[in-house]
Amino acid sequence: MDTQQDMAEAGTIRSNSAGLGHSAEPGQGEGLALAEFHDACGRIRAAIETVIDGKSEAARLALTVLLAQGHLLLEDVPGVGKTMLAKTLAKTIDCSVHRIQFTPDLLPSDVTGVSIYNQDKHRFEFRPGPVFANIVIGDEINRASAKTQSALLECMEEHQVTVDGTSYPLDTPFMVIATQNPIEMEGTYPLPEAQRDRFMARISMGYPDLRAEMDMLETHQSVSPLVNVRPVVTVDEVRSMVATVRDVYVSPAVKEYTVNIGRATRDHPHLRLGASPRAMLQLLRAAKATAALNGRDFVLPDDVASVAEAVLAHRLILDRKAVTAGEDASSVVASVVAKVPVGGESRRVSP
Amino acid sequence: MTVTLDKPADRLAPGTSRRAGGRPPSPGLAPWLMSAAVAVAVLLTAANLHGVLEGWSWLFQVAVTVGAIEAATGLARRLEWPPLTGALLGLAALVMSVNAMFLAPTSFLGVIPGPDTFAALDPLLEEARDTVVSQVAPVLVNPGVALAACVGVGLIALLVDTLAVPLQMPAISGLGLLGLVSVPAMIKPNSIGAAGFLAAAAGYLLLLGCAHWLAADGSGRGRLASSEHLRRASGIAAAGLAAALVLPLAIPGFSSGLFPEGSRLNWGAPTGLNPVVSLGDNLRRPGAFGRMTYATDAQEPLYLRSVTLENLTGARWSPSPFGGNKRTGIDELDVPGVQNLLASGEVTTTLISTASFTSPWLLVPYAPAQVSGARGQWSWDPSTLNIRGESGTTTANQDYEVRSVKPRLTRDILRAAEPANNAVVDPVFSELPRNMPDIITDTAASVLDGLDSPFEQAMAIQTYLRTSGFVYSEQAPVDGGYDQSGFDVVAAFLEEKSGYCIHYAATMAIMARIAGIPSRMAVGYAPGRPTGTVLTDGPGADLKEYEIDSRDAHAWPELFFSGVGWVSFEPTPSRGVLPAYAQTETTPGSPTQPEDVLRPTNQPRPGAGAAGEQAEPNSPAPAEDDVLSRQLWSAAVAAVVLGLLLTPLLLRRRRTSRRRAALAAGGTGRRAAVAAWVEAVDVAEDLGWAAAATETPRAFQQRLDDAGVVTGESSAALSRLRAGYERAAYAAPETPAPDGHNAARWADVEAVKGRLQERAGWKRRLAGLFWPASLFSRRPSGADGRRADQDYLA
Repeated sequence: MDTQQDMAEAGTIRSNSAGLGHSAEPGQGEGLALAEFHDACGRIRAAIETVIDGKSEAARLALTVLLAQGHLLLEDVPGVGKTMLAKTLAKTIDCSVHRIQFTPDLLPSDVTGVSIYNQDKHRFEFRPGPVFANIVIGDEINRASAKTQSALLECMEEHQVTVDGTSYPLDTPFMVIATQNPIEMEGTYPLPEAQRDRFMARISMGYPDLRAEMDMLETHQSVSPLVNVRPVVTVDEVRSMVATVRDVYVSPAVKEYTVNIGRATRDHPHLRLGASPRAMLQLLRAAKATAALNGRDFVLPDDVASVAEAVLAHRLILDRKAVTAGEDASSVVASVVAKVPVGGESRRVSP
Repeated sequence: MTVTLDKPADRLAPGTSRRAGGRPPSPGLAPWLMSAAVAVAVLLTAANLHGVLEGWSWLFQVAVTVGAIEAATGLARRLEWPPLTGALLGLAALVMSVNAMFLAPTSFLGVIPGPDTFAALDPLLEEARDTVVSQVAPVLVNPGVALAACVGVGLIALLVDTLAVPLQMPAISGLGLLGLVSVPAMIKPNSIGAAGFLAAAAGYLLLLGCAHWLAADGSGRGRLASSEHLRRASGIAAAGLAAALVLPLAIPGFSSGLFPEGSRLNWGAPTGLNPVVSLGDNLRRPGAFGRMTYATDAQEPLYLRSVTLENLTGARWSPSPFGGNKRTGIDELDVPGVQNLLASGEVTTTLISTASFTSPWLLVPYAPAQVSGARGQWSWDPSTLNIRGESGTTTANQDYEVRSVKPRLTRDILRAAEPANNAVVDPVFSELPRNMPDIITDTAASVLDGLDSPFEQAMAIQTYLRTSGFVYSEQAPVDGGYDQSGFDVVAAFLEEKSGYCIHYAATMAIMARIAGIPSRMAVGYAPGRPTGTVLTDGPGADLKEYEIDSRDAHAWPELFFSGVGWVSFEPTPSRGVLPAYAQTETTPGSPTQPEDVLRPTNQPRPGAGAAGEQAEPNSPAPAEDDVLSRQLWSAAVAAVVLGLLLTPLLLRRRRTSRRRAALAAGGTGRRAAVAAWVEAVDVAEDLGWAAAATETPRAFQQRLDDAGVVTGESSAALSRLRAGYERAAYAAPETPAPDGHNAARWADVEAVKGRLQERAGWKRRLAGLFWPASLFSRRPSGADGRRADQDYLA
């Protein structure tokens, strides 16, 4: 999809999102105008491109998830730049970034924080853990024990940490970028299915192509290009961008299309478990972010289709027979998208 | 195309476009309403079959069938099953209801066809076929005919239903009703008349009204124009009415009524399928047609016999069932009497050329002994010597040679004949129903009073009919089945003393049976006119050629005399040739009237082309008229066929022009953008690039781009259309409508269309023109199951 073209098509720039029936959350500012939004996105993507070669689609999806207020799971074999992508994205934004290296002996309190007795003041004080940040990079999340994993996943869902009966809200925006090696690797605790559902999208990085890999050898030879990355947007700008995404309009036809995709996965003969309603919600959010990234203030069925694989594939559980037949979740999602009719001509059009 | 596309957009102000009254029923009721409308329309139209079928008893069965079909399709629609399923369900309902009514014993549970059903179906179909071939409208309703009526009307109901509801073309569904109404219009003597026409029209209007009502459920189409709509509609109706009134005056052959005889589809050839009715029709027809020739070496011109009617079951004449004792192969009709005569050398050779005359019964002089040269399969009945084509063989375009024999009959031989012994002939030739109108028995008694010899009795009857004030008239009251030959008609004839050959022949045959003489009625052609040509057939034999046509259609009685055989008589005055043996002995004061004098058949008639005495004086040039009306009818039918061929094209054009109108009307850019895109997609589909239902507009455009179908400017045009559509269809309603000139939009559509046409081959273009695929595909529909865009995009 050509973003420039979309910008031109969008023509009018949305200046007022009030009265659309969306209740703006308290404390969240007005959305950015589409032009500014697009400009900011362009800066972030350009910054990422300086570090990650030939992975613009992955970078774009990561940005999409950030703007849709979801969490991202990067899954691939070691050494293809998962952590690098996460760190670069974090670094382009002028916000707090924490990194947790998951190991088998990591404890939940190492993630969430712990109450420590302050002898001077004679009371317990909460020492926030690394999860208190705008962007949390959970490296090799599948190396930690299930207990620790769930501590992080709880934070992701609730956007708050509860220690000793006191809840500490997390900052906004809050995004977890977890990386994991594919489950076949030794010494890992694979994420349970239910917990994978908490991640909005999963991205497989994949190997770079020949040209990109040669460039990578060049740029990463002496000094890591990450050093030169400077923040290009402020955290307030990110908040405004999130608000912009929230105000993107979704027509009933697109909602119907989204729901139809979800229902199709539930009835799919190759699937043991289809997409949950939460998955539908996240799919639509991701589609809204995609639409905004493309410079539109309304969602097209194409937006839904383009993120369907990233958002849905990791939540589906294949039937044993389908696995032996060589199917995988991605191919199932692709087949579902190819089968669901694009609804809704113009029923919303009124004279 | 130059059309001003940008009219001011003030005509359809928001909020004024809702339909004022007539709120449509709830969606749950709509399928049933439509089904009921179709059922009522079809039944109102089918009621016209009264008069083709006797009585009304069949209507109940037809109503059950139609009701079952419509209930099934209505149910399918109520359950929102796909249209094809609905049609199949309707078909199943048709089969099951027909099974239940006619074939229940052989079916599972009374409704599902079983293995024996087809065997049981056969006799019914045979019965129906025989009825059609042999009876006169109105035919008696036997199970076979009722079955045929149920199946026929049922299929028409299914057709009308399918056209009106799933295909959304209620106006076209009138073709089904027209097909139904055309049957009685052609067959009934006075066509369907005003009442029948009004009933059919009312049914059609009901159907249209319901469809319109249901379609107009306020989904945004402007009703402001309804007064204009009404004006236009009434204008068209008035023009149609005027044409219906004026046309009969302009076209020869129309003489009275709404659908007079002239309006029947006749192709110039007597169909001959129904011997009696076609006879009446042929005689009444103003012009002559269906010219046939025969050449014979007989001294006198010949009667050519088509079939005999001897079965009086049901109080009317019909051929006896042809089956039990039929024999195949007509090279040699080996009946002893005939073969004896053949051996004695009393043989007449006749060459017959039937041209367009079409009938299952072979036209031969009596009594045929050998027939050669007739194509197809023929079989014959030894008791009547009727020859009938098997498996679709007809007489059309046959040239064949008949060698026939005729005993040399004299009055003396006949006088000597004893009263017939009933054992000699089949009882079917002497059966009489129990209840006959008194006038027949009384007349017979007075005519036969005091006569014993069969021949004298026969002569008395013939003399009575040829004199006694009987008037030959083809214009005899033809209402109420007067074309028939049943007892009630014979009774009426005896009272009116006016009729034509059918009535004379039937009366004589019935009175002969009362006298105890076996009789039957022969239908065929009276001797025609010599053409003056003499053919030479082999050594020495000269064959004089005669021509016959529709005006010579004739019926005459044949009576059986024991020891002699079947002898024909001629009770009809002024027609045919009175055989020498049947001529009244000239005595002083003989009541023989001048017109009884036979035609001077051995000389060419003065004014050879002119019609006989029976030709209507008010049709000065019948042959010309005939040609003219034939041409007119050919033209009319060609026009109808052309119209049918052009229907998809016109419907598609209409759709395009409605979309253009939507664009021209201005309004919000939203409607225009959607209309323009949908038109572009439809154009692409017509030309072989159909958008899949699962394809987003972008994916569709991408596909066309990738395939190189659109390039450069056309690609940009398609892209603009797509962008406008996306904004119109998916953006928030509160946002400003997509900008852009409607004229530019239409230009984009034209650009895409031009490029696609350029790409498509000529075959594809032709197909796109005459069979536009977009007309038959369904756009993705909304959750409510209706076409989302049907109002102004369809």
